[in-house]
Amino acid sequence: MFRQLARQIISHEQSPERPPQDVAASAVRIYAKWLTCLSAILGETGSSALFRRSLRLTEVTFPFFSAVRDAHVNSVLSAVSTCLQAQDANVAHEAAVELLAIHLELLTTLIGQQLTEQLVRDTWPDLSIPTIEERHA
Amino acid sequence: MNDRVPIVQLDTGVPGLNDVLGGGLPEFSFNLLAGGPGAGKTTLVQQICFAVATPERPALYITVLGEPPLKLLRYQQQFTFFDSAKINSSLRFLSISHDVLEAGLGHVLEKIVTEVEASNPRFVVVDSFRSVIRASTQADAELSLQAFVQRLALHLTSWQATTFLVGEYVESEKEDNPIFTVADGVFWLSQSLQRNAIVRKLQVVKIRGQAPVPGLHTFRITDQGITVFPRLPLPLDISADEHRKLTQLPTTIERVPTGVRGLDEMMEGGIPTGSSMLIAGPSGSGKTILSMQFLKEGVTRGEPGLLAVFEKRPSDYLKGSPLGRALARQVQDGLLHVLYLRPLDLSLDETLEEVRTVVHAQGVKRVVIDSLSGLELALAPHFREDFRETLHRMVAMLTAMGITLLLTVEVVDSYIDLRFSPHGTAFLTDGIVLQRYIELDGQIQRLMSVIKLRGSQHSKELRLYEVTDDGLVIGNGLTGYEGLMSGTPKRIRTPTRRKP
Repeated sequence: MFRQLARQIISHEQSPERPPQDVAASAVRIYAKWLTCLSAILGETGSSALFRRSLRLTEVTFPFFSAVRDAHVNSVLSAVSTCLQAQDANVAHEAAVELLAIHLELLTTLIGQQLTEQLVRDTWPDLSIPTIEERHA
Repeated sequence: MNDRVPIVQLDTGVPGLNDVLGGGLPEFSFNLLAGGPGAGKTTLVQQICFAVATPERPALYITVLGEPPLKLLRYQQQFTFFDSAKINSSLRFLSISHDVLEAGLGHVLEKIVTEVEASNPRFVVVDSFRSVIRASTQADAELSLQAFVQRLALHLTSWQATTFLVGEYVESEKEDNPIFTVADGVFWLSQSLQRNAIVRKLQVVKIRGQAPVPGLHTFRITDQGITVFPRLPLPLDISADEHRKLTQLPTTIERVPTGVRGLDEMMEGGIPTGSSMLIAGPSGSGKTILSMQFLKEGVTRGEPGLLAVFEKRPSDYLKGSPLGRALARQVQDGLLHVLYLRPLDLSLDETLEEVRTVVHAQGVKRVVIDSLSGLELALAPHFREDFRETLHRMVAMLTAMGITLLLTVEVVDSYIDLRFSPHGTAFLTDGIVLQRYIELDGQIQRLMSVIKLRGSQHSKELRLYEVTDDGLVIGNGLTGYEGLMSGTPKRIRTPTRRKP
């Protein structure tokens, strides 16, 4: 479910079949936008900690993210960008989707699906995300 | 013409709190919510926040160091008042970074002012304000704490925001902390531990512009959030009611029959309406049966009843006798209501609120509390110490509502002294019926007497009675004996005349 949502968000701001540099740039733009929204509520420390945890969990499927481990807290996004640029465009795209999906899933385990989706909707109001009730209907 | 500025009172969304505040939270007030860790400060302020926040009246919740927002969102959403649809629309969270905090009070003030001017919130919370103060003592504060609080209060009020500063404070700080001076309202939460029970209390230390109910009010936290139980519910209603009663004194006393025929005869037809009656007797003397007859008679007369039990579960309570089973059917039919209050950390205010809610909702006319011993046991130890005061308030409130109240109390049969209640509370009720055992003709017999009944020429007889499946059956007055109250009566010998 979160993969589908993450794919929807990434595709919303990124066209497929582009060079990995573009994929990385737009993915980082998406993460930055999302983390700004999240920081307002959770604080920079809170949102940053969650993102780093998401990176660690994504390493299982995309081990190249381990290169971000040593990045300074203020340069995590630029380290992510470097990692993605080094991959094939398709792999970079899938890794970007996976990272966001895991991040949303992690957030959901902490604050619940309803609130997580509410925040996604606030960040990307143009996206059409069905509510939990609509999904069950 | 009255040209005083009207103060709009906001509905806090916390049951009981509006009554304590004297109507609600004054709009544009600058308030401090203080208390120790775990007292319920964040829960209270969040509950108010969700109640107050609307698209027209947005709220801004500023978190500063205290409880991390991630945890706050995680745990607070367990309460039913948490409405995630309001997040980022009606209610916005803002986390003040550590950097701003470390830069000193001037920067914190600037940050808050900037945010408030940008988003125009009508309700602002700073949680925890204590963190701001702690940081200010660490930084080279270019702004004194008092000046900071004054500017913050002035700015937020000018910006038409109702504000809550939340912080951990100790009692001694009430005296010399500038925040307490500047604040329009000071709310103090505390929790006390006695034996194994915890009692939470709220005090509105001050609130400018209106009269709060003074004193400490107990509150409970459940999955619904906080419910406050005002210490003196309906104080004004009672006095207004008393005034009305004085001007409209009835010429005759209306009476509520108990359903126990012989007993009603002993009381000129029954218990005066809106008065209280104590049924005192040893275990097995039929107090509960009498109470059940009282309620059954009420239902027959179209007077809904309420039974408050503390010791047994209602099902166990009612299944024990044919009379109880008959009442159980009336419970199912909605003619009789049962309140089962079992916790061992109840406050009287909470008990009263439960009773009051049912009385109002169901139009109850008769209330039975079975028993005072069970009620005392269910109260937190803290309240047991003031049981006389507790009982006085309960009897006063219920009878002021026009309820005819019947309370049972278990007394140990003592034949060397006459006591009607182990609590020394017999004087609080308008009437007392005493039940006791006596030995008569080699058998244990039950004896009943009306000890007092205010405003009535009640019978002074001592009457034997039987406890049957259908209820109490009152027999004749016992005459020709002396020493009945000693438990071992003797027949009075009529002097025989000697033949001259």
